[in-house]
Amino acid sequence: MIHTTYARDSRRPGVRRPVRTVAALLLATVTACGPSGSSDGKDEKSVLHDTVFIGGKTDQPGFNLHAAHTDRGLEVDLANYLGRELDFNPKFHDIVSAKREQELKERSSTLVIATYSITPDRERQVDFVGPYLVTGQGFLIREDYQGLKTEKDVAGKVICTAEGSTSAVAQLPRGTTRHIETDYSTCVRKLQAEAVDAVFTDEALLYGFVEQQKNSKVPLKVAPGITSGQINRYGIGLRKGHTADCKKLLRALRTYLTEEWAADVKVQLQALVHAYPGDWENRFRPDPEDLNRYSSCET
Amino acid sequence: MTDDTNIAPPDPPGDATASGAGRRLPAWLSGRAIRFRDALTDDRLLALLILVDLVTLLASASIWLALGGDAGVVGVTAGALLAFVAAMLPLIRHRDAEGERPLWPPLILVVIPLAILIVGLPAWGVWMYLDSRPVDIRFTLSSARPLENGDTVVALAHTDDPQPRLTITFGLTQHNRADPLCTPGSKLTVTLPTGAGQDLPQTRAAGERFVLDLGEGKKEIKLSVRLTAEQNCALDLSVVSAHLDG
Repeated sequence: MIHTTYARDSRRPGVRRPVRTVAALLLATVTACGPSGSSDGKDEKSVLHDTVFIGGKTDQPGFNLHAAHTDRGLEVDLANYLGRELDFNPKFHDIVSAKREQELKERSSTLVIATYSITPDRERQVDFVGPYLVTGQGFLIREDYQGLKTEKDVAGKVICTAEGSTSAVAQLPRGTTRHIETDYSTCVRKLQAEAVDAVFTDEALLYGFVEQQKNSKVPLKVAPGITSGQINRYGIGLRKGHTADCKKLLRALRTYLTEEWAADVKVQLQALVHAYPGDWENRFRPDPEDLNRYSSCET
Repeated sequence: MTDDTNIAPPDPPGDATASGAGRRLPAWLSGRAIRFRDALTDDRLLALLILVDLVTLLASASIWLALGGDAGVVGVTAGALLAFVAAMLPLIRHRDAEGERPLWPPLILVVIPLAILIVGLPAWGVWMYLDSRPVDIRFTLSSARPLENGDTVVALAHTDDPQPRLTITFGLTQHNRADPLCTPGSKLTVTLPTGAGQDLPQTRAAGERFVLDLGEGKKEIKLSVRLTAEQNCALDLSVVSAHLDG
């Protein structure tokens, strides 16, 4: 607006200087933004230093479980590896599925590592680095439950999922009652209390609960051979505008997948490894090409 | 006895007043016309000129026809010009009351092929240029519903300007944007079901160009497009761009 006015008036004597000043300011701005390398011309400075606050779901056994003042799980191992490689100190705090984008946008978390599936909607709001795990979706049931043997049996059942997750919007057979909770640990408690018939979410996540509950009064199992919904790919979420950090994380993740991923999965997701002996890496480990195709900073 | 006083002295070359025709022409032109007319007393040169006329006329008519000219119009035009050339032959030998041969019939024999070349060559050049440019083409898809793994749709297009090669790019977008991202792993296989040229299937990711050999003169284009995707991945197919070229 101001620029246009000056340009029109520039024919008048004595008004040329503001035009030059505005032009110089514009040029300086463009030059300052030039070397950033970000797609929108604004790459903010690195946030991966000192203490990095990471939003996680700390009630998900196998991925991130906070117990006895300690965080344990595959995502904790991944965050520690990234911290070592990129020289920062990861610090997890608990978030819920539905608020992961908000956490990043409001800068409450620098990163989100929280079984965070890459979706087109989320990609519009945040950047992703990943995937670090690929998983189909399945149903968690009580070990002695006989009501879910085929995919047709899902109809008519009460199925618990978490708010804001991809499982909450996945298509289920007609007649299924969807029961939405804020997190999966609540779903699991309700399953054990027989308030719901099954918990529906990512298979890898379900095996974490199987392992956790194997010695409980109500042990659980993943309904064999019954799948629904799409394949999920977990990515590390970060706020848009940090292309350089995105690329750093991508390089570190690529190394992690080849060097430490398999060992960490064996330790943290034992029930999953036992469920697919000899095949778990093929099923759950991302194709290295996927890192280029699914990470935001490579597109 | 010859009455020398009745014999007009020969016209000097380039003299505009030397003949009736020459008097009506500018000096520079009448001089050349006279030299050309006199040269045509050599029958071999006349025969060569007529041959050039015939070749130019027939070649131009053939090219015009090959480029899609109407056979009737081409025939009538070429016939009229040929008749005109033929009509010049007796006139070239004709002498007027003053014993002069006319200047314009020999010129006509030169003007006809020159005119054809002056008009025809630029027109042919423009046609070649326009023909070599890609022609955008609009496809319609047989189904607007989202596609899943194994689904096939037919893409149809009509063109009045057929070209032998089609370059087409498809787009895939996720039908439900809240579902896990599945477009990067999806592939499209395109086949020309009744292909005149290469009808081997081509498989590429969305956003990549398919280049298909259609063969000559194909006005109706039909493509079969098959989706390979992950389980329960519902995608919307669109044609991002499509053009024909030679």
